[in-house]
Amino acid sequence: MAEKHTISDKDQIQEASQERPLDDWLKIPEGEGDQPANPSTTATCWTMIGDALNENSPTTKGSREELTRRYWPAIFAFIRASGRSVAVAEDLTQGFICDVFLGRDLLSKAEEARGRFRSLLLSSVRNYLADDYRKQTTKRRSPESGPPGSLDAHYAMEMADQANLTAESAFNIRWIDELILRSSEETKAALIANGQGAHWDIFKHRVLDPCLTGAKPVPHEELSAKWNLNGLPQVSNYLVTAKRRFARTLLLNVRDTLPENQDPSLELRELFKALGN
Amino acid sequence: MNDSTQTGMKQPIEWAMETDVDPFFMLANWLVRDALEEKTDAVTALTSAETTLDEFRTLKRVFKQLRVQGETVSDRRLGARLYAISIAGAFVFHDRIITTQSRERLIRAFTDLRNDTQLPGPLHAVAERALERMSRED
Repeated sequence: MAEKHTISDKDQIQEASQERPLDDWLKIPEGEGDQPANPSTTATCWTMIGDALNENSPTTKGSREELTRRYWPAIFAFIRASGRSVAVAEDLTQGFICDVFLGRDLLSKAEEARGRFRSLLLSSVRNYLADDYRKQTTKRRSPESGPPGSLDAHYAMEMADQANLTAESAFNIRWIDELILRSSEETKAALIANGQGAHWDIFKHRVLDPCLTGAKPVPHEELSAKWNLNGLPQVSNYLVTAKRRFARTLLLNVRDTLPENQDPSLELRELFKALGN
Repeated sequence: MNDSTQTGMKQPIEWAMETDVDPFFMLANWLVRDALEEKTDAVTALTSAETTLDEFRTLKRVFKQLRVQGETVSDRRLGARLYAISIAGAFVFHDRIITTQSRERLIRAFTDLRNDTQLPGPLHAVAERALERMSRED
């Protein structure tokens, strides 16, 4: 090789530790497993709904509680953003959960339709609020409010649409928040169970926390020292292993809310759009 | 929940999208983004004259690690190829050989890379240019 090509000491040390020549490096043996570790198989949205509807199942109560825990924040966010006070929104959320969500009606529809669960839940909350509004206004309706189609009524409808958009946005953001947090918890549990606590810690401190909380990413050197790794290359590789696991878990959790075999790309694009510019 | 949190929440959704669309090359892109702050994807980093020699050395080490510790066979294959491409890139763009591998081995590896149909076209081109350069120096 020509003299002008220099090899740094650092590179020589690294190369000295290499066991195989470069051309052999490109020939990786077949036959080894070729799938990254599968995300944990917790109950899906649909199996949980099925279980919640099955009164003979010993886990019905648990499934109902889990469904309520998952979706309460999004339902509450929608109702609160539609202009209700905190106290009223809490009451209405509780009412919706008991009367519609767990009252077999919504869950039965969900299981029959196997459509997008997010859309079904959203439209059900919207209808529930419309019913509640009708009940409230029936009592105090008066002729002075003007005939339908008047300028005032048109303006009021526009305002209602606007509020609905904001409420829908609040619902979607809470929905996504829940998906991300649940996926994080599942990823963490799976990695730790697999003896990959360092992978989780690195992913959390370099990527996940900075995204979700605005924290500063912990430097490679610090994480390398903490976990006794060989510097940036190993830290980066641990990170992407955990990140892929998280992304696959999130993808799976999104898929679980969709009809069987539906491509999740549209739902993912909608969720992305829901987070605004 | 404020606007910055909402913006931050977009990233996990993007990761899920990438996993859905291009699981093969996604890992390489993520590695590049973590290792080199200014770079966004592996192909651009490995085929750009703006990538510094130190950055090529970093990429070589990162992909070598993927070759050794990748979770799957595909990961390790990808690591092996991009490790060799990092060496080719440093040679093409900075005229430096950043490995102690022999010339014959480099030529064999770059030839394999040039013919590897799994790799994106621009990476073939780097391997091709490295081979041409080596032949000129004979």
